Amino acid sequence: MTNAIKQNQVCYRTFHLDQPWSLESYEKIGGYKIWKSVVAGEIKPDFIIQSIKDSMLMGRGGAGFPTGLKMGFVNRDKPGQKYLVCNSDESEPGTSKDRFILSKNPHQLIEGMAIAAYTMGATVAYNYMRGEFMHEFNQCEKALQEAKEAGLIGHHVLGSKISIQIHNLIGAGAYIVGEETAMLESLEGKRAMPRYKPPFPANYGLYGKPTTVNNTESLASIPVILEKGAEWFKSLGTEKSGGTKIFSVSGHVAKPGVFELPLGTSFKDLLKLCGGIRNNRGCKAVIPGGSSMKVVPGKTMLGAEMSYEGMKAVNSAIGSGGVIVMDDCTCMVHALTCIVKFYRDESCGQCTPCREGTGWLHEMLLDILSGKGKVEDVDRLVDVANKIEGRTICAFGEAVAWPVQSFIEHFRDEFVYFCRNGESMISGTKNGK
Amino acid sequence: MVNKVNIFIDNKPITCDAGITVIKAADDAGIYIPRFCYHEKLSVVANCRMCLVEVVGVPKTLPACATYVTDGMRVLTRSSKTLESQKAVMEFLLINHPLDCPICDQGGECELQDISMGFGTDISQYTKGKRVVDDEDLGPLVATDMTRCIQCTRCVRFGTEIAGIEELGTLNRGGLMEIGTYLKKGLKSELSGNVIDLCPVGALTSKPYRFNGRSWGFKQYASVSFHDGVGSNLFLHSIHNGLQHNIMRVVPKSNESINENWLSDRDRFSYEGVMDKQRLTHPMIKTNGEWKQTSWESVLPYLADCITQTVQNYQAKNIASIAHPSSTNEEFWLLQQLMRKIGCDNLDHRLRQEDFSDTDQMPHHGLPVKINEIEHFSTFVLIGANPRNHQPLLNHRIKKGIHHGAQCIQVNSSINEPNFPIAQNILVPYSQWADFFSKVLYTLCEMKKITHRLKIKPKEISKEITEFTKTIAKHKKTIFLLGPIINEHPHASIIRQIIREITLILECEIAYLTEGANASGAVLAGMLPNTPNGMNFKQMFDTPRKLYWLQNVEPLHDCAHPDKIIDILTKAFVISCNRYDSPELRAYSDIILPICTPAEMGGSFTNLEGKIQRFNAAIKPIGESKAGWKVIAAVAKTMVMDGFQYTNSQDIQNEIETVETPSISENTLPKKIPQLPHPIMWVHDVHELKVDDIVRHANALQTSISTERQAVRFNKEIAESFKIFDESGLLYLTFGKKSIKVPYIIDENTANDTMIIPDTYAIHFPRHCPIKLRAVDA
Repeated sequence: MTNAIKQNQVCYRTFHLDQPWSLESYEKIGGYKIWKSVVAGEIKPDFIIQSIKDSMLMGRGGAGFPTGLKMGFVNRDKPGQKYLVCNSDESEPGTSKDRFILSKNPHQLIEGMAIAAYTMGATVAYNYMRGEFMHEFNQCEKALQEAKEAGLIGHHVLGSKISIQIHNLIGAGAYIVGEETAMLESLEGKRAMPRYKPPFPANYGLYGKPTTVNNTESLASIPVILEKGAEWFKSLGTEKSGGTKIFSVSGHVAKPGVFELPLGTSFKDLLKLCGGIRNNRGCKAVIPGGSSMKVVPGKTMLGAEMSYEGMKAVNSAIGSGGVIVMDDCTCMVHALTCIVKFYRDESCGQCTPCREGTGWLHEMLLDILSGKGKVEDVDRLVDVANKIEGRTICAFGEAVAWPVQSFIEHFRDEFVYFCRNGESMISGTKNGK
Repeated sequence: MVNKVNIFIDNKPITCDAGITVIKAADDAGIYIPRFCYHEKLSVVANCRMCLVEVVGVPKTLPACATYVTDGMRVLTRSSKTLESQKAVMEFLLINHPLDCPICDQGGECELQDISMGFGTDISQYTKGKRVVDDEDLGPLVATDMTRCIQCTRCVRFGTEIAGIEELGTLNRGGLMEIGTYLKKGLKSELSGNVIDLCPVGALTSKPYRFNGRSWGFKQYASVSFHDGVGSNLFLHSIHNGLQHNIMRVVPKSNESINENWLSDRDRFSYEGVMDKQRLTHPMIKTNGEWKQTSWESVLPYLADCITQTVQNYQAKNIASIAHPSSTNEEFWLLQQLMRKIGCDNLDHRLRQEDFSDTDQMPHHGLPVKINEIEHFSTFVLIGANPRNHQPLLNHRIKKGIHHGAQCIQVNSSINEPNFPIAQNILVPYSQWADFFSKVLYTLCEMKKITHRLKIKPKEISKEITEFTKTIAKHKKTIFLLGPIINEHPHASIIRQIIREITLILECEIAYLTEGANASGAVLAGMLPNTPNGMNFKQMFDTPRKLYWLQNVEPLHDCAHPDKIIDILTKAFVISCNRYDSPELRAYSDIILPICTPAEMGGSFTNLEGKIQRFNAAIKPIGESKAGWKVIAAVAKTMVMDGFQYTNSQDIQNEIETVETPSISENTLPKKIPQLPHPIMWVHDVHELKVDDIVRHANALQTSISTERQAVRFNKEIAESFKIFDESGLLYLTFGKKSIKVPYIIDENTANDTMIIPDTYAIHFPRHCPIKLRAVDA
């Protein structure tokens, strides 16, 4: 039963309130209580890191790296400047979860950033938002102003010796800024081009100083984890996937939307929340974690649970939680072309395989769409994708290779049909459109 | 002590330093890993992905240029996994590369060609159209064909890390990424030509050399820069077959202790001057105002006779001899030998200098340390020096020092744009140099509580001077670098003596950035009066002589007071050993002997650190011209003198080396600080591309001179005093009856009471004359 699923327990917990973005509303539900205890010295950094580790909070940006472990990489006692960067460059196609945290619950993010920054010994934190987030930026600025006026952020927080400066800033709308080292480059005023790792940001980050980059959802979860306990948070989800996850469901569902659900919720239940597939059609395929994750056939997906291990079992990943649902009138050739075009436009152009390969893939797909494709092109698409995968500085190479590989793996006959016949296997789709 | 690690590359055990990259370890072990973006002198970006190699135990292939060695690491450079990666990257690189090798200048020496042959596949699966990129005009030196670019960004990193000015950058992204200047202004760096060597493909090539030849047809000759005292090592590429006989281009020769892998644009492109149409090809004699071509056989006895006659009629002291400081050691040595044998000590090579009183206190060569040790100083005090323009690769060493945390203080009459941050800039009016440093010395003595050797008590000391003195007194490991403005100053000796005294008190080093390629060689070979009776350059023309021997000198461009000198030369008997014909040369000379450029002869130069570097001829002499030293030796032989039986330049060099270097006297200080006659002084700004005859005839370089450097510059105060109100424009420079229309810029980086006049205009006025400015419409 859908009613049984409890929504909006962590990052979206203020949404039922009137003006959820105000300091007043946030404090009403116990906001900044943890931060005040931290400032008062009642909660120690070691405890914070341990709690986050115990909570099984995985990085919510897409890669799913354990947040507690990442925070522990920066030695807070090592002298020198350190930085915390909040990655709010939510650019993954199909994902729109962070924007609601930024616009409707900014104080929880600010509290989370303050706690995280203090824990790692950073005195300066940046919240980097994507270029299109003007409204979200204004909301965050307002909230930050409120928090500063209340003495919660700034020099000598609440009269203590602790100082935390938080800065909101807005990018120029490039997808690749979401890659953590590209974000650091952009913060430094350079072109957003990912750096080769190692060295990792924990050793050589912003301006060469130890830096932690965390996703908005991860940081906003921290105050709740500390308030209600790691055990509580962990128990919301499954054994291996602690807590909740925000899913942004888009595509061919009756009611697309954003839902914060406990991890481990079945895809069927998620689909029910969205009112099922539009026009009662069948579910052909789902990309469960934003366009760079592997596509999963609808049938498989209907038996899967939305958790890190559940998605791994269907050979995909939970990624950013951007669930893209495709019904049975979708032409997979067209769908893949859309995705590949996006990656062609957004490649930073630094590494040879990605710069040249994304364009090549897109050209081949355009050929197929215009009826000039050859059957060999299907294999060539996979071949080119394989040649990009694993040969680039950042994960962008995988992000373009995985959709191509998985689309052709699961829907090869559709591609072959298009090449043979010069038209889509799915009636009603126009060639080349 | 560097830790060592043991690794295996292709199962070969290698012990190497910890902390180096795999590609470096492989290079040292002689195992080649293909690369495009990696360059040992530039930062690592790992973006071309050509150097991907398999490391046992790592699922992905790793870029060798960015992967550091760890103990026990096993790298496979030829495994199937590595080869697969290399083939994939090569295929991607070639899909948008035009493959127009037959019409590409890089053909035959192209890294993409070579690596494609070695590591690529035969056939590409790619059948689509290729990307085309608009070309950009980068100026007269670097040609572009940006469609060929493979976006390795070496040129971009070169700008940021080596040249110090960010001119090239990446524009757009993804498949549309291209390299350009964005501002479309062309390259201005004095090292810009190096991007031609760095570019692994034919995207950036040499403009003067464009479509002129193929690298495999050239012969390569090691040589030495003939323009500045750094003595950069280079290769001359020449072609000589029945039809062609030419220097085709110049490329750097790597020498870690001098120029590393780099070459300044002046050294790289000046070869055009060697083959210039103005080159003199035959000896010529003037009889009754008419010039006649003649042969060496007939000119030599005539010349010998002229000298003998002069000695007999007017004594040898009525003969004088001057040589350009870029002449070879051999020319200096033989010329002074010849002159001293006939009893003449009137010799000099310091053609722009006016004050010679501290000659005995000057060191034999400009630098107190080796060129590669410059970067280890922690403070640089540039005094009237502009090494960025005049000694670009010495400047590169200073820049490296600054990069490692050193500081630079600049004292000058006009601030140049250095390519590194300057901690403090001090503007000193040209007429106040001696005064400024005497005050610094006084303040320093007060500060250190030492007795004043300079017995002059200044009236008032400005805050700026106190601050400057405090700064230099505070710093350790300092070097003072004195530039041409000091050497050419009417009080050069006094200024140098005071600065020397300061450096003695501070126990720091002092360097003299002398002009030309071989000023050190001239001193060591004795191209100086060196005896009490010998006349220096100034004296030779203050009391005119009967006969002058000019070696490589074009007085209009190379000397102080050109008008006065040409006037005197016209009245005297002049033997000119020159390379280029000009109306002035024909007007004042009586005998013209064509001599070779260093590209056509063997010889040697001594650089600023005192290192003697030999070079050999790359082509046959042009026309009938002969090596300078051969001409002098032939004259001596004709005059039946002993000791000129040399078969090659090495014999002469051996002889020079046996000579004891003269001792250096202790520093003395002036008794008073002289004043200059006019309050507003002008500085003759010698452009670095006009320092010698060869570079003056290199066309591409001459067109690369920026318009800013061709304008007269002065500050607002001077502008107001002459009622000039526009920021820039045209004005008249007037002195007496002479008036020239020139462009000007009002420049706040120029000291009070100082005008900077480019040499194009400066040569028309007597030095230090009170030039007036007049607005064009006034």
